[in-house]
Amino acid sequence: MEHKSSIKVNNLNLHIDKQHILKDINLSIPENKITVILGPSGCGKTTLLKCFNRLTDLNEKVKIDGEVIINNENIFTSKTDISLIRKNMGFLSQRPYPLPMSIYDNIAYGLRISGRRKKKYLNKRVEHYLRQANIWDEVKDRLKDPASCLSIGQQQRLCLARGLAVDPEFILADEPTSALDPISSQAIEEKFMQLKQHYTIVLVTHILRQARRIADYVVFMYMGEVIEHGEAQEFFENPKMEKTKAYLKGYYN
Amino acid sequence: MNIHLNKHKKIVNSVRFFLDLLWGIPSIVYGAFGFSVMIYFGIRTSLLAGIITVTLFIIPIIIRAIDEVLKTVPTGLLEASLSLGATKSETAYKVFLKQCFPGVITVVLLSFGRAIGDAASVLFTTGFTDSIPTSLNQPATTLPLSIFFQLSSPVPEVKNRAFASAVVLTVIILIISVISRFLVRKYKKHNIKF
Repeated sequence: MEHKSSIKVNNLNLHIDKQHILKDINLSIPENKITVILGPSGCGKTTLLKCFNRLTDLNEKVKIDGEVIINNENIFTSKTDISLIRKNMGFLSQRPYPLPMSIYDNIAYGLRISGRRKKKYLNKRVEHYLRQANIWDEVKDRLKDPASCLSIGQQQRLCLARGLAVDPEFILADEPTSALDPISSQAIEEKFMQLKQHYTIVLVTHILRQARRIADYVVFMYMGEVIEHGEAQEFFENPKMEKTKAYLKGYYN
Repeated sequence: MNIHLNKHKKIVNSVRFFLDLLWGIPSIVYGAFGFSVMIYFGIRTSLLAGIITVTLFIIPIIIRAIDEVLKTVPTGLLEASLSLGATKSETAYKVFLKQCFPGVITVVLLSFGRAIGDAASVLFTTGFTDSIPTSLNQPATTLPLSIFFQLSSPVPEVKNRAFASAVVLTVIILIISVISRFLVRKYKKHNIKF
């Protein structure tokens, strides 16, 4: 079955110094689905994810060839408006990094930098996104408190709300549950299942069970190469490559 | 600042090295340097010359210490802000500065303490006088210097003035550190701990 795909990766190669991190990646990521990137540690999952919103730019030793096409535009040209791309992608990192300000300001930050400052509007949006991330009830009485006083699980949901607040089309999540307790993880996973109607979600994980639970489309990476990718059901029940089979049986863990 | 410093590693490291060197130079050397420049231009000791010398010698301290403070900000925070579509300068002013503010205050006040308590660098450049200067071109005296000169005087009245200066100096430093404590506590609550 063919899906409309919104992220396309063509012949992507990435070097850091002399190390070849990503080797000839060719992918297309389907729209409004949860795509899970699986693979053992250090295989380049996170790096691939960071290519999508050009966070790789932060390291000057990174050299990139090939193209990543998002909404029919290659994002690795010099003309690309990087902030626009990044606004289009909510990014959830391994550990939550709340901004050093109040809970309210954390959400409003993204809105303010895109030029929306009306107080009424902000109040409404902040509540809306906090509700979306299932954290409203826990924080509604202390919106002015510093975000750092929340628990890690709450912080991660706050970061999700913050990411949603800039109104992205994509959500990039880099092992968003690896630092969380099971209940917070479940909350995040359930949220993703709901969100996929409106967003294209790319999730990096090394938890196989999590991938089985929520994936629609799976990409398996090993040593910087994409070994196999396909529909989740097909991938888990009927893997084609030897390495995938071995990984699914748990040999690499 | 540091956001840009992540690139250009080589230049940054050499700049850091030189600032470290400048930090290590005793302040009397700055004083001597200022003095020789003044002789070259034929300027007499004055308040202005002293101010410039002191500025010269605390600048490397301030820059280097703030640099250290900024280094403690995790890259995750940078990535988080950037991935919301913020530009580098927005990130620097709204996120980094907020996270580092207590550290920056500490640094500024520390170097202020060093500057106010320093006698050697102004020994040659501001000269010595017993009266309060009325313009930038007149010689002036810092509190430590006046303590130094007045204490060695045989006249008991002048000696007492030295103790008075010492009290004033101590009180100033006390006030500054209380204010800084207050500011740091006020701004620290938003800080993210890692």
